[in-house]
Amino acid sequence: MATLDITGLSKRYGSTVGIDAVDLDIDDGEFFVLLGPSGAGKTTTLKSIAGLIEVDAGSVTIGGRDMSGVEPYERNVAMAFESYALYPQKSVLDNLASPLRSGRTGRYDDAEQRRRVDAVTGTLGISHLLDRLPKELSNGQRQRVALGRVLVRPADVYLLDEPLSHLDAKLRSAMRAELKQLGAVSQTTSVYVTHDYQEALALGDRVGVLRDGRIVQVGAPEQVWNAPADTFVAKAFGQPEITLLDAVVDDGRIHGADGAVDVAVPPGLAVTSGQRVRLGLRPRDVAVAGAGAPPDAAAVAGPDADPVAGPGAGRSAPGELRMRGRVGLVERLGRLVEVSVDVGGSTPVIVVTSAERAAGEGEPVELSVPNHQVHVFQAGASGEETPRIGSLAGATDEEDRA
Amino acid sequence: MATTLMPGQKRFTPSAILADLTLLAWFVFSLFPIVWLVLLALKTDAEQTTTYFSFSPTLDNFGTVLSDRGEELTSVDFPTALLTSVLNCAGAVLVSLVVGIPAAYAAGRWRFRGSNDLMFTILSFRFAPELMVIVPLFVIYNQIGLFDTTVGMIWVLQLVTMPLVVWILRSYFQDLPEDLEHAALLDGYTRRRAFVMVALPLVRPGIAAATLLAFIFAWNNYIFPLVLSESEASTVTVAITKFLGGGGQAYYNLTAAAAVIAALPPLVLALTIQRYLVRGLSFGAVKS
Amino acid sequence: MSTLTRTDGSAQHTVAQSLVLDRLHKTYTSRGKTSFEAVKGIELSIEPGEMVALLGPSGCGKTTTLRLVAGLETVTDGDIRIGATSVADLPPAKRNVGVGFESYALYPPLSVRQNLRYGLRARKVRDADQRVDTLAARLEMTELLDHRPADLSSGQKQRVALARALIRNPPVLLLDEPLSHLDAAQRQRVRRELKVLQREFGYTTIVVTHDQLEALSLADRIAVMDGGVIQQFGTPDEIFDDPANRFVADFVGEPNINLVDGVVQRSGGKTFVRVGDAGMLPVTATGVADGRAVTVGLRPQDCHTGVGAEQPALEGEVRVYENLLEFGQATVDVPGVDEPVVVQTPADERLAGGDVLRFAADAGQVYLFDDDSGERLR
Repeated sequence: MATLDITGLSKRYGSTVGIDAVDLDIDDGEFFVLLGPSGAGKTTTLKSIAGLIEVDAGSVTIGGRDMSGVEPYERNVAMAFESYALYPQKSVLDNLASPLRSGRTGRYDDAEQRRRVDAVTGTLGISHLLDRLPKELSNGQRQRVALGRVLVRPADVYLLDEPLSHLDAKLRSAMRAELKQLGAVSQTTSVYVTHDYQEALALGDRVGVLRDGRIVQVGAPEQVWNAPADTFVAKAFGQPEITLLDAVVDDGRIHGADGAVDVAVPPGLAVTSGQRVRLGLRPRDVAVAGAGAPPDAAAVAGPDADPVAGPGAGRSAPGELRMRGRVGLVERLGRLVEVSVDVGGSTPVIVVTSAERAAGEGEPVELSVPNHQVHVFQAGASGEETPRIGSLAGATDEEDRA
Repeated sequence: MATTLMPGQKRFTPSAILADLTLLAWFVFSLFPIVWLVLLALKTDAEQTTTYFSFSPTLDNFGTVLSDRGEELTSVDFPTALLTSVLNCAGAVLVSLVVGIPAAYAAGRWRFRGSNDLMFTILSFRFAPELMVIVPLFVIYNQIGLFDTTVGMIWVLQLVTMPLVVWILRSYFQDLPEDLEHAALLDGYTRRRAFVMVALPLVRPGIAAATLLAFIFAWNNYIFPLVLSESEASTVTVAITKFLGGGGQAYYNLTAAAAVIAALPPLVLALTIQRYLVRGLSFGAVKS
Repeated sequence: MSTLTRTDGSAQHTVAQSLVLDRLHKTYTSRGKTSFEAVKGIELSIEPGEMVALLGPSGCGKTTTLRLVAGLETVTDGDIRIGATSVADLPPAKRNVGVGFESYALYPPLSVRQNLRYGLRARKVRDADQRVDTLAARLEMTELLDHRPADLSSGQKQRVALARALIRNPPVLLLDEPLSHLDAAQRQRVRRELKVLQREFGYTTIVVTHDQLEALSLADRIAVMDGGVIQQFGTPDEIFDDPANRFVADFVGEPNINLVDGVVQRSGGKTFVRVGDAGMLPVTATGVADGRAVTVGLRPQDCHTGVGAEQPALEGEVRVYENLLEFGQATVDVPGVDEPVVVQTPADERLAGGDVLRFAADAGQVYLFDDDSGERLR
């Protein structure tokens, strides 16, 4: 157990950036999740902590000790590799006992080795596999063995590289729940790498979002979810991903989506007249109100969605953004359905709602989103990620964040 | 293969039959010299220049080649040459492996400044026609006293086998997932122990393949022993040709018998090593 | 044949064709040794312009079925008809089907654009370039057109393979895991675009997938397969809401359905199923004998909390609670039940390990299955 401090860590591979000036302070015993798409630098960060790659700049400090120039086998970190990296010619037992036999992770006599292996195989439910070779295991079993090789011994830091990514959905969900319960994991400083936002939300004490080798945002799951730093973070959390509608501020109001959006600028939202913005709507935050708009009048904004007044104004009902549109596709997602609603403009609004409440394809519908869930981002070119300005709840929202 | 016909595909179309016949013809053509060699080795002196397939086969030629009578005819002691060859080639392969395995590992694992150039240089030993280097080598060998010595032969044959070993094994090491050694490092093992414990056992098929190929290349080398040895370190390839008679009578049947005998050691090695050649030992190490 | 060009506003549609698989069998025999029956008499009747998903785990026979339709395998027994024509004995090129298989390699020396044009050039299509551009834009691959296959990632290759299957506007389209290598966001967009294209041009389509979400969202109807046999054929709603057996219920839905032991009990004219030591759930099944031991299927997302003490429900201690912000997920130990039960909870209801959770589901969403055969009991 130890703290883990990373300062200015950079690594280039030829002309491509692996990681670029990554700073992280991870507390003793914290479970920290690094989230990002493939190529964002997640594995590079882990391997830098482990000392498996030579970094170009920056330092790694574990438990107050600067690890520069310290060999991997002297760092007392344990890592579960995405590829599992089990020794193919060794049995499960030998794989698990391997860290105990090297002599550098502590002294363990035969009985103690056996006791530790038995404990970890019991926890992970792989006691019956001890004599098997890795090639005789299923992917789920291999993943457990790889995890077991980490948990079998105490370490200052556990590094877990997408340990659930190759499991099928059923196992993944079960293992995610299990992982959280493992005592060793909950007590040891851990860095967990994943591209699955649900794993990040479910497991992380804090989450760091990586993009192109840079940390975009670090925060508790609620923070990154409710106040994403930019469109990239907003898109990274939530499936289907957030809808971004182009809009423009004009004369104290925000217009967008060919007239479907027309709301007053809330007090406290830092936008100026003429500024182009993007409105971000999470599919699950959008409610489908009953149909009923006449077919040709789709592009009329709902009642003016008053921003929530500042504290003391005495209005308790939060305002909401309303839009009218027509249902394009309806796609079933299990118990829920995903509806794409054409509200005018080129981008359909994606809505996730329960199957019973879904409208049929081609039907007119009215959409509503609570103001605090309408994220306002700076405008940018297609594909460009832009920072968040605030939400339609305006100043109230800023206070919530503070 | 025969069962993977697609719908609408016929087994015996004229073009399919033509393709089969072409293959057969090529097969016969390429196998013929070997058949002829074996037949020739079984013929008597009187029959050796005939082209009839009917003759009275005899094993006498093998006896002649291996006995003193062979030496009388050719001034070469064939059994000794055989032994010398085995010694030379085994020595060359051993040197190549001892130096080549670490070299291949380094070349496969780490890219360092000039690593590609270095690999290319090693390979270029194989581009150069042996005849190009043979004269300078002859001069050098004479100067430093390596001419016609076993050490000298091992050294020169190693020039042939080392690039082979390094290039073959480098690709094996490259195919080996680096994560395995990384796992060993984090388990608390030094780099050397990680190499011995994890990497080395997994490239065994590669080592087997490289050993076999290197041995065959060394065994079949002709020009180096021809020029750089005389009697002490002369090899089978040189010895065989002596039966063709330097100006005297040519014994084609004895030549053939000697060639057949000379082909045996690589064959035996191939058969013994075969079971290590299986691929896929690393299966199960990492997710596919 | 009528090759099609879609210019804006005047779409020429493929004459949609029905596709019938008639008692289709495929047996692999290796030199007279043990034979393996991969497809065991599949009957499937696909309407013109319909998109059908073959859904199942690996080895269920779905890919073999697709290869049989494509003409890459010989039919052991049965028939395949496109429209009124039997195609079972025709070579692949004469079947007029578009094939988007991952293994169907692209020509390496040609650029993506050339690869796409290749199929068209053979048929003398005019404005081929325009068609390539239009399709590429819709599949988000315009920037890939001048690359060679070797430069592409697997996700990009997959889109190119999809485009190549679509470019000829075939009346029948066969797609093998068309979205498996795309990242989540891309998969969602390409899936939507594929569905729009498919409807627009009216391809009769078979999609093979192991991803139940993909099947549910993409297909008009789904054939769930296991062991070379179709387990259930129906609309996504039917498959999800009314599973024919335990396999279908278990394979479709994420998180997976909870499957626990139960005993049917009748009281006061109503039917319940008893689960664990004290749990009770209402069920709609009326044709099951009182006291019969059954397997109970209960989807995590169908569970609702806040159930009164007088109402039938399950109760247990929360082992793990995961806050996924959109909703919560509790793993609950119900006394007398071997496996923990997973329950999805509303986002605003925060729980912690050790809490006691009482939950139930509507009678129509509690499924009963035969313990042995796994067949649904109604």
